Amino acid sequence: MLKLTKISKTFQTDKIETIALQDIDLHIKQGEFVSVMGPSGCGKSTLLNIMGLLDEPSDGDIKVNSQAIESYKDKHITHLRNEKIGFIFQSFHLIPDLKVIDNVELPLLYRNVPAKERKRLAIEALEKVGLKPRTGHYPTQLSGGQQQRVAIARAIVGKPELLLADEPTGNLDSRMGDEIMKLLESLHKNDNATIVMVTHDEEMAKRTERTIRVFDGQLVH
Amino acid sequence: MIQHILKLIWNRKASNALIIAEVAIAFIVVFSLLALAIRNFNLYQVPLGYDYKDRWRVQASIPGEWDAERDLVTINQLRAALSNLPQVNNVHLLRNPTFKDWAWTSSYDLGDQTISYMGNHIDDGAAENFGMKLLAGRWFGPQDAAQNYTAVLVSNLFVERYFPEQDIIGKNIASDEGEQQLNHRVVGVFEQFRQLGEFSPMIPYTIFRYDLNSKESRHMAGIEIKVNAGTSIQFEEVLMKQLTSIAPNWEFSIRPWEDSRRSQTRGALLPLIVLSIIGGFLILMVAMGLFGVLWQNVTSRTQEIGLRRAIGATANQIQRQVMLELLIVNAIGIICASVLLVQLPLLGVFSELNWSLFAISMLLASVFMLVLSAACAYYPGIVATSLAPAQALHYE
Ligand SMILES: Nc1ncnc2c1ncn2[C@@H]1O[C@H](COP(=O)(O)OP(=O)(O)OP(=O)(O)O)[C@@H](O)[C@H]1O
Ligand SMILES: [Mg+2]
Repeated sequence: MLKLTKISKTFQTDKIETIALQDIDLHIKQGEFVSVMGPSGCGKSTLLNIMGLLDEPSDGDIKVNSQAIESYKDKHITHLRNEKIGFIFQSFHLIPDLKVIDNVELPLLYRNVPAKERKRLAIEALEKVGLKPRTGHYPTQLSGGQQQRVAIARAIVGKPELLLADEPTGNLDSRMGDEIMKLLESLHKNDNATIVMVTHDEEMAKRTERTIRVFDGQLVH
Repeated sequence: MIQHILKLIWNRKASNALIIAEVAIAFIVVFSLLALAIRNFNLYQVPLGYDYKDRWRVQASIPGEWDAERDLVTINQLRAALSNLPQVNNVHLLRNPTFKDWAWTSSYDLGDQTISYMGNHIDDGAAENFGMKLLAGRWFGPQDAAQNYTAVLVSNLFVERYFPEQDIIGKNIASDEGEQQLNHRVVGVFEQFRQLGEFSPMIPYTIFRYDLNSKESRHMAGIEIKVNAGTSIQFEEVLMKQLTSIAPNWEFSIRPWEDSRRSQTRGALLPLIVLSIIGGFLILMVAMGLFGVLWQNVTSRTQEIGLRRAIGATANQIQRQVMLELLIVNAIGIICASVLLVQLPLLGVFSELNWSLFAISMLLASVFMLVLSAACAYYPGIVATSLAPAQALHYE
């Protein structure tokens, strides 16, 4: 479903050059639930961003559904992100000026789904994360765990093939973290979602099917 | 999408209120400057109604009280002498000079309207030789001499404003309340006589026939001569000699109308130029303020923009959204300002601000503000969307 070959990423800031990723070869199969672990600063987020086409690698190839990404031209990439990938971030990234339902609808808005259909799908997604009664609230009126569930609803509303989660429980206490983890597990099991999740928590990693370990920008086997 | 944008604007009322206020103030400034500029431009376009080329004014300063019986003799002598000069084409009398802020205005009540106008006195033949345009009736002539009425010419605006759709020829008008009973009979209608120059407002104008043989005649100290084309200013000396030889105890000053016009134009333009410089700075400041506010507005949303890009908005879509949002906010600001500004013509605060001037200034000011804010929003939009989504999401 997603194949990285010899992916490298260097960041150029002023005079310092940071090698964040080096020669990464990675294959994520359809329906897998994968966790990514490693010490802080080792390049996990960078890897996830590149997998999610949010950032351009300095070197290497990416294939999505065995189709190579040839250009990082805005339109092409954006379309892929919108249709195939759902993101969940550590800091939720909800738009505070929009109600829960409007936040969830957002990916569909850029897909030109008609308003009625958007609403139906958003409610469906919110139902899955158990937040249907909160559709009319603003994000600030919700707890952290609820906000993350809204973000998950937003990530799954467009029925993407791949869910990428960067420390989805990093900002939450263990009880809420468990809630989110259960939700991801059920999405994996019931909807056969492919999930890649960055985590610092061994316990969470154990609950996934496979753990990828990153150290200093390289995969450790 | 529009609905989504409206939702956002509504939910961000607090921060948008600042932009709306900024836009409204800017709009009022731009509107005022435009209205002023357009009005003056329009006035400048309106013909004066007479020729000023090669016409010189001889302004006499007559010692003592005006005595028509005595002084008109001198005036007649001066006229005759000047007419005989080969450089002089024609000689006429004009009581109040052109291109000077020196005018006679009068008014009287007729029925329920107050008729107010600016007036002047000329002798027979002056109107024709000044190059004025007759629209109805006739100019003054010898048939007006020794009558029981004084002949009057009125401007077209006078007729349009006070006697519309009436045949005014042969009607009597009064010069002021005390003279109501005097017989001022309209004999002709002329196009206009913009005595105070190109930037003066349009005022109903009347011209009374000056009777050179009447003991009642008013003070007259303006002799207008038309010199042959190309006559140099040195001719002034010759003139002066002639004049003082005839009236040694009168004082004279001579000035071409063109000269007076130039200095009057300068006087009229100077405050306008100062105002436009101040206004220009004001607009610049407002533009910078607007740019700052919009910049702040867009950069504070870099994360949001990153998120939108991450979940499937193209940079173009984001640009369009930012632009549309600001244009709508702008339009609201313009509408707020318009509600205030429309009171001006409604209440008739400035008589000069008529509806057509209002409308055109409104339109141009709106276009200006929309273009300005689009330009102000364009750059921050470009910057915000030029970041890779991964970077934008971490932007603080
Ligand atoms: N935009 C950037 N510009 C410069 N350097 C960057 C940028 N993003 C990441 N880096 C560097 O790349 C390396 C990897 O960063 P990354 O965020 O991928 O680490 P991480 O494994 O996600 O860490 P954490 O567990 O703390 O989130 C770090 O050394 C970081 O400083
Ligand atoms: Mg990270």
